[in-house]
Amino acid sequence: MTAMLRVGAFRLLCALILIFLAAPIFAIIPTSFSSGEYFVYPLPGYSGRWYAEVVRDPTWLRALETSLIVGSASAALATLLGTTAALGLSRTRSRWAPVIVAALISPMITPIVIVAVSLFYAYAAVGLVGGLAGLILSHATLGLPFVTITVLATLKTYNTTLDRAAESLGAGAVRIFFTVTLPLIAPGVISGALFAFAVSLDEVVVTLFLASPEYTTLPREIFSGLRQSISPAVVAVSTITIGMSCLLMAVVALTARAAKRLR
Amino acid sequence: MVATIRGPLQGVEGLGMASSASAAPPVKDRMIWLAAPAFLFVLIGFAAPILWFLSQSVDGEAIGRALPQTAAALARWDGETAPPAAAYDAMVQDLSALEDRPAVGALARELNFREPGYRTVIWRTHRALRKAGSADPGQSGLDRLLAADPAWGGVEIWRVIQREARRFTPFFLLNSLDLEQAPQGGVERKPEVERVFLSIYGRTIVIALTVTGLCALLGYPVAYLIANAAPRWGLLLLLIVLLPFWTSLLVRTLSWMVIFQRQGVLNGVLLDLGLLTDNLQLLRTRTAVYVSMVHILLPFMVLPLYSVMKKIPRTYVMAAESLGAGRLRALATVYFPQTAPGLAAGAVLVLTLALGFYITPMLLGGGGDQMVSYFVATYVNESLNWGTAAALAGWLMLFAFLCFFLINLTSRRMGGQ
Repeated sequence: MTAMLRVGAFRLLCALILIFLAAPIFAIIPTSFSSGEYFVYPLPGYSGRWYAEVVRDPTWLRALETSLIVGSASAALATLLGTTAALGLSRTRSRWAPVIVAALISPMITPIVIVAVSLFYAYAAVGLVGGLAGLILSHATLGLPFVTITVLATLKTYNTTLDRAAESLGAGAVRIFFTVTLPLIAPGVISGALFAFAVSLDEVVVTLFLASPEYTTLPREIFSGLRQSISPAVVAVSTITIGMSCLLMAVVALTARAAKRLR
Repeated sequence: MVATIRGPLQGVEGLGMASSASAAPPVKDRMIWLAAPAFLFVLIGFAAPILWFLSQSVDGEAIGRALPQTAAALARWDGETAPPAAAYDAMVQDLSALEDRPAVGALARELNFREPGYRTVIWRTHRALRKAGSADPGQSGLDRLLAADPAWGGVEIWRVIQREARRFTPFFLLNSLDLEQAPQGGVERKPEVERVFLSIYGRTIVIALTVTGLCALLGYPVAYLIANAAPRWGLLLLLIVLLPFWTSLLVRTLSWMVIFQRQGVLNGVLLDLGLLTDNLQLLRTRTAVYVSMVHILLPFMVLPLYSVMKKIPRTYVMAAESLGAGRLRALATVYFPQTAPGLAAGAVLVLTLALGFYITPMLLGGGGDQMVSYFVATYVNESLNWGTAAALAGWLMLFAFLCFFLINLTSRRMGGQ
């Protein structure tokens, strides 16, 4: 009996913690359907007017466009650099490897404000502040650790005898990579790319320092909407980005599952 | 599936390194060159900017560059008696030589960082010298300076200029620790009313440690539940943990604002339930900062714990119980020690991330809840005080890296036993 009580109490505790984890996100979905002018609870009524407003507003659309451009370009750059690096790192015994891994991961553990201020300082000197190029480069730097780690993890389980088999059949290194290795590690590479994309899509602090009003991203626009009173339009946009995150998460999960089946 | 989702976290746990090097049998050591482009990219595009920015904390060039003749004239001054007459003349010449406003502004700003009030002195003097035009021969440099601002008659400002007109200055690093150089040499604590920075580090560390502790307390049972649940349930529960993990930090902060607002969800619900008669002030409190930070960082604790717990065979605890240990004792003596690496990995992640928090305390906390990052950004944005910003950033990074390596080290030692 006491054992059952203990299990029950434990499960209740866990349930409360899980509710705590999920609740905030579900709290903002209904409020995005408010019909009121300002954000207050209880809601005066339900409507989709803020979504309609967002879709019509060129500011939000431009921000979304910039976010998608910066996200895909920076993810592509980070994936290119990170995958090559991971490939090299997984097959070397050089004592420099740990140093390089630490360097590649450092953007992930450096406090983001320090990254933002430093990049602002350096980019200002070479004229990269305010343009798309600066945003893409900085976001690629932040996405690189995620790609490197994900691809490295995938390569850990990669069977290198496949490469040697291809080599014995006369394939060159480049051909081996594109016809044997890459198809097999593709799920890891895709996950890494999606991670990098998600990082860019979330990034707000570096963007605050580097973006001009001309190229503002979605999170940056949300942020400026938060500083004053919260408008329901901002909540609506946030709900849309939650949807986008769920989509990304689902794609990553499906890629992983596909990879498992292949193996 | 789970392994791939957690990819990035797995790597951080293994930051003890060698993980990458140990993998592959065919050793071709030119393979390392494949990592060169990424390494260079990070070196040039990340490490160099960070170091360049941090170097601003010791850079004193601005003052010496603006006042070259004065610096030279003051070089042999003892700092006690009145400065040499040549210094006054040099100052008049240096200030008159500053043609454009940005140059004067930069000097005024830099001196003002050293001693509040000097900005006005510089601007006022510069304006007066300009208006007077070329000097009438009978007037000494000191007279011209004194006519503009009486501060030039004391030794204080000259001492500051003498001390700070150097290539490297310890000023910002000391100042950001609430220390100053004593006039007679050596370092002393600042007067009590001027001490501000130590309490900011203290607050940052307290917040980060509290959040880490809370995350461990809340994350442990959840990770245990997920690791020991039936597979189908485990996956669903894991998704609940992962969903916030994938949701943007800004959006999660926003959702807590929506909940904590004066007319927000929590107040509304509590009023409806009759538990409150008036709205509570929740936004801009330390509580709001703790709640939201724990919410944002909890997945970083749960996921490493989960991955470690998943690998612990149930038979261990059962064996302990069959030997007569009670359930709790078995968990405490057999199960818990095995989860220590996961706990350490989670703590490292949560602590280093928490130390650098910026957006969340800014939006949910009050003035007394802002952490070091906030002041780094503010010193840059509001006063262009790169020196102080860089010094604060330097101490923060030093502390974050120390934590990172200390916990990593202890966890590896524990894992080795």
